This record gives sequence, structure tokens and C-alpha cells, in this order.
Amino acid sequence: MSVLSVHDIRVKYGSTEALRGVTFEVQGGAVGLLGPNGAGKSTLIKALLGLVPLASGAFSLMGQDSRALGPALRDRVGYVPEREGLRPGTSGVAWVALLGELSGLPRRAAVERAHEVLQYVGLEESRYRNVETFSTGMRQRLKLAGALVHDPALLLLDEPTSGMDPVGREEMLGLCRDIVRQGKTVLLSTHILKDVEALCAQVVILHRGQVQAGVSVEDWTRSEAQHFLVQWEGEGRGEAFAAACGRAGWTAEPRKDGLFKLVLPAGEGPRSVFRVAREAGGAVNRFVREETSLEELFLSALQKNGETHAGL
Amino acid sequence: MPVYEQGYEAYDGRRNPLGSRWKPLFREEILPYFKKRRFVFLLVLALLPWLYGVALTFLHTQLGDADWAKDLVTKLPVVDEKLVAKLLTNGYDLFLLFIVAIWVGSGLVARDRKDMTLDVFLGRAVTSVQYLWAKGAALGVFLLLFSFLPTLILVIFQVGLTGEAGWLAEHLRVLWGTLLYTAIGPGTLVLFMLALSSMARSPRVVGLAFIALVFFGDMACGVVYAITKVSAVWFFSLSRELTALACLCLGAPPPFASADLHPALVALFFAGLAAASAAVLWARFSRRGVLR
Repeated sequence: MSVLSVHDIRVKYGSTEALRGVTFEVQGGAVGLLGPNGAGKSTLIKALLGLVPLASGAFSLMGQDSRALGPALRDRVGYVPEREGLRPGTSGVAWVALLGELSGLPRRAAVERAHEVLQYVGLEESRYRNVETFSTGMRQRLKLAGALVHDPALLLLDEPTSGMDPVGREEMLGLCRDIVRQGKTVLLSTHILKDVEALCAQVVILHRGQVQAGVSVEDWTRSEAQHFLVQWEGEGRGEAFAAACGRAGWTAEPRKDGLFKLVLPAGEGPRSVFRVAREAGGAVNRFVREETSLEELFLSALQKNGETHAGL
Repeated sequence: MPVYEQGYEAYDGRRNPLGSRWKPLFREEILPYFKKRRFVFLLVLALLPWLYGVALTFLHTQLGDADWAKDLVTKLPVVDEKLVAKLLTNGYDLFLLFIVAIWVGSGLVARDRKDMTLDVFLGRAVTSVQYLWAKGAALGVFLLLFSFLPTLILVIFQVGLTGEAGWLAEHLRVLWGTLLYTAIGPGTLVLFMLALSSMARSPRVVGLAFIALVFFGDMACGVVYAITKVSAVWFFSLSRELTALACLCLGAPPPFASADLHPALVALFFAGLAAASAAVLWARFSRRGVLR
């Protein structure tokens, strides 16, 4: 049974369609939600929380239809908003306890849980301070504590590491990893692709309100183009090698350090590189496989659709 | 030790029913005001005119039969519907009522929009109706201090000092009339403040809008009336309408002569204001979504 199953959901803001038939499934673990600005990531999160009405479609959580669950659905979901979302003048523990109460925890249990989750996210020493005195990193962790206090099955994180320093970011990702280890499902919406690479096994790419791709990062990496750095030795400065690569349908980009950056389509491998080098009348002296980053994959997914990625 | 190695425990305790989720929001809206000395002082100030009513009750019930005081006491107004209507709508209390409406009401929704906590609250198992109910109830509780609550205290004094319920049986309208006035007048004011507060992100802007609509609205009505002598302009004065409503509910004559404040027109004013406020709230929270 999938944790979250989204089926053909559409959201309209007046005449603008923000989500156009979004369909995907989340089996568990951490899932990255990627897309350029205006792709519909935040709208999708709000739709899953019931904060914006669905024009059509439906989704289910733990096998239960959202329409049947009603507001009770939100007892199983934790939400970390992208922007502020904290009330000045309230202490950290009071804020988290309030959120716990709103999720149905009795007052005493909410206060106890607030202390526990604040300790879990590393804010035990600052819990009695007013939230407006918190640093950006502390605020993000406080929001995470608020999302965890009622022990949800699914966490919707909207840019959780936004504005954090590297240490704070690593701590936040560590927390997210641990949350996933606890058996919770995390849907991570972010612009920071490294966070997705570090945390997620699956990605859903949204573009213009539609799912552009939704696959496991590993499968995608395997199925996509491969990148190599090659030093070719032969007569001339490599023109023959570049021409041979062109004939093979590859991209060969000469670099200042004398290496060629090769982009091979899926299915081709190192053997093909050595073969083409021989055909060009030379040999490969140095050969390095470059890991395809999620960013490159993401850009290629958008480029396939003939889109620019200025929003990134 | 990394923070995430400190352990996380699942919660398997009981949860409160969905219908009661508005209560923490209501509590959080109310309690901070009792920590503000100026606000509490304002509430105490609002009760001062009612001390006059309590004093009258004391004089009539305790000294009304004394030979030396009889002449003086009979000249004083008695505690009845007419007096309660006057106490409810004296200019001093109406002014403080509006101040409290601005103080508490302007931030009801606007503050949550400013702090971006609105989607955090509504992202919990709290419906929009529960959210608005919690916010409205918080303002409503404070407005009760200007309407039903002091009346109830006055009635308790009256019955307690005479030791019999005869006065209450004779003046039952004091209770139900005030209750009706509270439900319609301050009740509509709560809806109006909620609607106004949902339209801006800044409580200050909401407060200024209220001042512009109510205080300057009254002033504008006064100026137009002074020039044109057309009494129909008072239809747009909230304080006049509240006064007329209190007098209608309690069966007392209004302290001003205006044929235009006919019961049907008063009803139309409050029905119109309530409907417009409800329409704004519906549009903000339901059809278009306040969260965009």
C-alpha cells in the first residue's frame, strides 16, 4: 500500500490552472519534489493539506481517500511552511504545544511532546525563548518540531533548509534522514538539488503544473546520459577525435586542460569511448567517469520539453 | 552527539475530538490580553457607568423606605429597561466598545496572515469555520463586557438586594432584550471585524480602516446632517444604529428623534452588514482561498 497516492488532481486560481492533472505515488521514504519557480510545488503541498480546493481529482493517504478522511487527514500530516509561520511573542515550547493541541493532543500531552520534540531537534536550551529571537536555522528546526509534535505519518517540507548555513543544513538533513529511518514518509519540496540528492530515493519533477518525471533517483541516473572526461592522444589536437565523436552522435566538448568532456546517450559505455578513440587514430590516455548530478538530470528533463530553466 | 541521535518517540495517546480543535486557538487569542495592564484597565473603565446602575439599585432597595432618604431616592431613576438601554448605549461605553473592537479585532486574522501562521493553523485538523469561530468568540467574549455581562450583574444585584424575584418577573425584558441586542449588535460587529481583518495583512491597516469607517463615518454623517438636515444620513452611523437597536430590543425610546431609524431600517442595516461580512469571509476562506 502506498503512503500517498495522488490521482489527476487539478487546482485552479480563477482562470489559471496551477495544477494540471498531477498523478504520482509515494511508497515511503523521502521523496523530492522539484520544479522551477511557479511549477506548482507549493500549490501541490497546499492541496495535499486541503488549504486550496481541488477542482478535480483526488488523493489518498495510507490507502484512505482524502474526501472520506476530511480534516482528520491533517492529523496524519506534518507541514513545515516555506516562509515564517511562527507567532512572535510566543516561546518555542508554547508554540509547539499549541500546534500539538490543534492536532488533537490533550493539553498536558501536547506540552510533554513539545519538550520531547524540541529536544529531538536540538532546541532544548532555547525552548523558553520567544520565537522572534531565534536564528534562521533555529526557526527552521522549530517549524520541524511543530510538524513532528503530533507524530504524523507524512511530512510535507517546503524548503526546510532555506537560508541555513552549511552546518545547520547538514543537521537538518540528518534529522530528516532519521525521521525517514523512523518509518515516516517525507515529501521534500526544495530548490536545493543537493538536499534531494542527499536525502531522497525518489523524485517528482513538476513543471507548469504537471508531473514532468517521477522516478527513483538511481534508475533515472542509470537511464540518463552519461558523462566522461577523456584525454585522447593522437595526431593533431584532437580534431579527429571530436569528429569521430560527432559521427557517433555524442557531444565532445574540449576543455582548457586538454581533456574532452563527453556526453554519451543511455546504453553507451566506456567500451564505445575506447572504440571511437581507436577509430580516430589515437588512444585514450586518461578516462574519468563523471557522476551525473541531479541538477544535470533535472535540467535535461526540462530541456526535453524545450523549456528554459531560468526559474532555478 | 548529533541532534538527531537524541531519539524520537511515537505518540500513541488519545486525541481530542475534531469538533473541539478550536478551543486552543480561542484560549491563545484571549489569554494574552489579560496580561496587558492597559487593556484590563480599559475593561474596568468600561464598567464604570454600570456602577451608577448598581448604586441606583442599592439606593432603591436599601434606602427607598427610609424616611430621611425617601424624597431623594424617589427622584432618582429606577432600574428598568429604559435605564439599561441608556447604560448600554452611552457614548462613553460605545467609544470604549469600538476601541476594544479595534484592539482585539484588528489582528484576529490579519496577524495570522502577517506572520504566515494562517496556513499553519489551517494545515492542522482545524476547519476554516472552527478557526473563524475561535477568533470571533474571542472578540465576542470581550464585547460581552459591554453588553450582556454587566446587565446580568445588575440583575443579580437587583434580585439579590431585594431578596425576591418579583422585579425580574416584571422586567424580564431587561434580560432577553439585552441578550437580543448582544446577539445582533456586538454579534454583527464581531463578523464585521473578522471580515475587515481578513482583508489585510496588517492589523494597523485594519484598525485604521475601522476608524475611517466608523468614527469618521459618524462624523461625516453629522456634517452632512448639519448641512442638509436630512436625517436619513444617520442610517449609515454604526453608533446610532447600535443605540436604536438597544432601544428597540429593550422597548425604550431612542435618545434622538429620527423617523429614519425605523425598526425595519435598523434590521436592514444589521442584516446588510452581517451579510456583507459573511460574504467577504466566504470569499476569503472558501471560494478563492485566503492563503494565496
